[in-house]
Amino acid sequence: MESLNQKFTFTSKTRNLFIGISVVGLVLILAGLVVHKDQYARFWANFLLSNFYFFAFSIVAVSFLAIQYLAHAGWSAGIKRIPEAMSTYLPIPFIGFLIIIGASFMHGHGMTALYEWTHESIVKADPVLTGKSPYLNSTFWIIRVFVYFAIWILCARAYRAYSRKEDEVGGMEYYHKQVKLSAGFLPAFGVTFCLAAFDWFMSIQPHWYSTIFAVNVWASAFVGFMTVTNITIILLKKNNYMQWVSENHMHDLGKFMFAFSVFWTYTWLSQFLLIWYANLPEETPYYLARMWGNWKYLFFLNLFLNFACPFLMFMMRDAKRTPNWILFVGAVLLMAKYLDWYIIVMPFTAGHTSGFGLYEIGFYMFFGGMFCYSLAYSLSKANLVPTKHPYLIESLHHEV
Amino acid sequence: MSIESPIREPLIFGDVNLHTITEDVCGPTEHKPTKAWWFGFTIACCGFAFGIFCFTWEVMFGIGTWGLNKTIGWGFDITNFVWWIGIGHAGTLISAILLLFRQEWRNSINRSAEAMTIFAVMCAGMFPIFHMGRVWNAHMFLPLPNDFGPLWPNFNSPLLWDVFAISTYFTVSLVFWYTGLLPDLASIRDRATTKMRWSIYNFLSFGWTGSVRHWNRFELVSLILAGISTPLVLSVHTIVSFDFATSVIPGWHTTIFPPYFVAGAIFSGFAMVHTLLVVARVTMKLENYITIGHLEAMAKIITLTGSMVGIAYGTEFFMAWYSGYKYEQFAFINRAFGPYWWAYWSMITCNVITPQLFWFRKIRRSPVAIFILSIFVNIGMWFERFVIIVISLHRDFLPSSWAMYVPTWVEAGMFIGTIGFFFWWFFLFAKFFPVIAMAEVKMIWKKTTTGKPAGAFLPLQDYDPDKAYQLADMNNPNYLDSAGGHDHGHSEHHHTEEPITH
Amino acid sequence: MLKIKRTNCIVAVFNDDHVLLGALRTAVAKGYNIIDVFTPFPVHGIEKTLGIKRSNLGIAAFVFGCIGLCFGLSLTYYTMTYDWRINIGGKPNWPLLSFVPVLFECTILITALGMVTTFYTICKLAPGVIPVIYDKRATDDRFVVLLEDDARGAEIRMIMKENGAEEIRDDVHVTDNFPGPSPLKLR
Repeated sequence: MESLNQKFTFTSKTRNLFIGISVVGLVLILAGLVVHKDQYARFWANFLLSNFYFFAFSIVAVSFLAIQYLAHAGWSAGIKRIPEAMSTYLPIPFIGFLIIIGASFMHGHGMTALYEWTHESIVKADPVLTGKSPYLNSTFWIIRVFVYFAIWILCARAYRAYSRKEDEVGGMEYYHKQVKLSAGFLPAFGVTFCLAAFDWFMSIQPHWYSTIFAVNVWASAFVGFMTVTNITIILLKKNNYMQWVSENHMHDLGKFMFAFSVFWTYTWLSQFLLIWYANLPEETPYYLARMWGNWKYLFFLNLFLNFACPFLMFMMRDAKRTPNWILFVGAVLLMAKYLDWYIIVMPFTAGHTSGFGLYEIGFYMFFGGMFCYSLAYSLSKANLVPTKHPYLIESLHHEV
Repeated sequence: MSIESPIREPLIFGDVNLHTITEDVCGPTEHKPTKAWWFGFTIACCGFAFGIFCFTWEVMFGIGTWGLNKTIGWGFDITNFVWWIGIGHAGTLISAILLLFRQEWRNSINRSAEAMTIFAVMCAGMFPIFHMGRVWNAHMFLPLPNDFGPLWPNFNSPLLWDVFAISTYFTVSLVFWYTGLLPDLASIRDRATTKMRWSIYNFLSFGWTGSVRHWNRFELVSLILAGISTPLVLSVHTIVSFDFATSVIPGWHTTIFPPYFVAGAIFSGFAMVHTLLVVARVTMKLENYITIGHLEAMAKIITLTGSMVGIAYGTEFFMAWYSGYKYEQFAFINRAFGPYWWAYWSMITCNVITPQLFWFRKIRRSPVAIFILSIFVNIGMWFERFVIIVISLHRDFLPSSWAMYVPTWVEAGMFIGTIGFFFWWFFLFAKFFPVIAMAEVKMIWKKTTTGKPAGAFLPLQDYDPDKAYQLADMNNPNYLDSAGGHDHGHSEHHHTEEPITH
Repeated sequence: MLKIKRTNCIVAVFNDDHVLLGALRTAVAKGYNIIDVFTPFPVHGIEKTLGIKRSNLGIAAFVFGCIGLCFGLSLTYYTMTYDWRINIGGKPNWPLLSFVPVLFECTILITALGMVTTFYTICKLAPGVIPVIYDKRATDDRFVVLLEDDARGAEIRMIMKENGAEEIRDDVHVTDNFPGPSPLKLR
């Protein structure tokens, strides 16, 4: 067996590529300021969407680590450095939210461009929004952003630190520490992620509510995270890293992509079917805005890309064991996740100005470049495999 | 061959080999039943008999013998129905979802848990049927033209979805369970000492021989059945939740219901598995196979699903406030502080607080504590359904029709009757069928006991993961090579190793 | 007493799955004809050694799933839309969405039943089938290999013995419908 002491080399070529993507994204956004003139709501909606998109993958990466520790999972030990590296991206979305908050001082920008309930005159005139104002008000919202990110970033850093310490000293001490950390983090994650999904996405339409909403967003994020992990592994393997990772690991990650795509459909259907069936005026506006007009094509395309595509393309065993095919399905799923959240964010923010233009591509590239950079940078900083992880042996001999 | 880390706790303890597994599991089916068995069986028969009496009473005198009224149309009957269906979820979860997740501890408990599922679903099915009053018209559940005229049952109705979901669930669980039983029934057949016994078990085992070609297909069939049972098990309680959530009644109509019901079902199902297995492992002397580690793993799932249920309660309450919809808000205030406050707080205590005690390692590794807590969870989950059904109904949009519901002895007797019925089946199963999936336990036997790197094989009372880890010397740079060396040709290993004593 | 006789067979009995795998590898390498292997649990690696292909039951399951879905679609369409139309809650006449649960259950039911029936059929398993049993301990703790006794018979016996076979039987362990007291009791 080849040596396990292997680090990813972040070559200047790759580094320039990722920086280039971000820079091109920034140029496109600036060009957008000229082309999509005065469309501030669209600007901020895209800021939120792309910021959230990469944030979601990195926070789910931390929750994945927590689940692996609590379940004493062995198969994933050999690939756990990838979610770990992903989690180091978390401070950047935090800065993203700080920018959104900071921009709110200019009226019509930041939060005020995204959330109706930040406008006091509207809230005062609306008894429902007045009733919600103890929760939905700018101050509390900002406090919550800080609380969420404080918990998430601290835990993510702790995982990383413990894991790297384990590489040095071995033994069970740091493993047990991570199990304890997971037991604390997972319930906290459950609550904070639910509230974050309500705060950032659901409150865009402040009159509307759905209790399953956060579960649906989480399911999307989980599929996206699995996709990114699987793609990263394949790309690393293609560049002669991590040769001990076999198609068995990819198969398992593929199964997660498949299963949670179905789970996403389940939560989607639970929400849609119940609202459609009961037909209550409090709940239907969400779908009324999305199932008629031009939105309806995207609405059904979303279902097709997020359910039918992975379901049919990943059903066969061999499909989950063929790297190039995984890359293809992964690309489809990454688009699908973007579309899923696009449909949630855009109708009540960008509204009629929404479309697919410089802002959309620009913000995606801008945040995507940073995400890839941070992932690659963190991978290069630690060993690609946690050499003293107590269950590593199971992962290295993993067979499906 | 896959390898297990030395720090993983063995799933089988004691001086066990392939033959003793067969002996220990087939034994109870070959000997005369014990006194404990007769004692339990008699009590179950009494409960069952009382149930038959109450069911007959209900059929003779009609639904008027129940405490239902115009406001509260669903009471004990649907509460019990949902409770039983929920309990029936653990078996398929263990046999299907945990198979997909390769949780090998499931191998010792899947057989009995799935049997439990099947019996629980049978109990559940009785309530909707008898709720019709005129049970002789039960065929109207099915998609036959009503009374053979042209009018069909309504496929838009969640109640009809239930018929499809539960009958499919029952059939598929039965098929899955029985297919898994074939190799073990063949083991009993091949040990038969009388012709009669041989013929019966050969008939039941479908002529299984253990041919490699059969195993090859058998494993794939199990995997595919697990694959389709996984969405199936989720769908069943989802559809049960639709019975409530498709309506517009405050407290019933909320979109979190499907996953929340499924989590609750798994939660209650595992509690029932705990209740049964903590007792069965002692009375049937199966402690070597259903170890403390197994109980602990289940306790962890109970904590997980219990916490999910807790978050769902919180979300519901928060959203009721957040919605700004005053009827919804009233429904939840009424739950907590209305006349049925005791039911609500029983639910919260049993479902949210008790499973959190399993965070303590001592508690989740103590069979007595587990047994007590599992009873609490069973009670709590019964109250959950009572809270959802009765409290939401008893004060609806029209204050003039507000009412209270008190069950009658007939309803209570029917509930007792199904419990008797459930245990009646379970005792018969434990007597005549192998309660542990022998073939599956044999499959992991070597890996979980002797297949580990040297030094990890310790007596139970001395078992200490840290020690096992040190013994395995994972800081040794050659660790992986030496462990890999165990991959092949160490067949004599388990003979030379010091046998563990329990 | 029903007697099923199968001639020209060597029965080699092993007591360990690793030894069995090694012996099978040797037998395959030497080109012996392995008729069947009987094990108390699925031993992974045998199918690879013997060159048994992965079963195509997955495809059968997919086909049955499609049949089930079509069945559900026709049932709901015929009853609710074609035969007797009722306005229920002002929903469309073919409310596909509220049929999703029924369609799903039909698909699962037919998939499971169809696939399991196929499995039983191709394995020739059914209630009342009288199996041919070469060694009764094959469902307990022994691993039994059935080899063709061709011209190299003596060599096969020797090689299997060398490769760890616990017991080699020349004659076929003839099975009838009840072969007497269990050898386990006699041991």
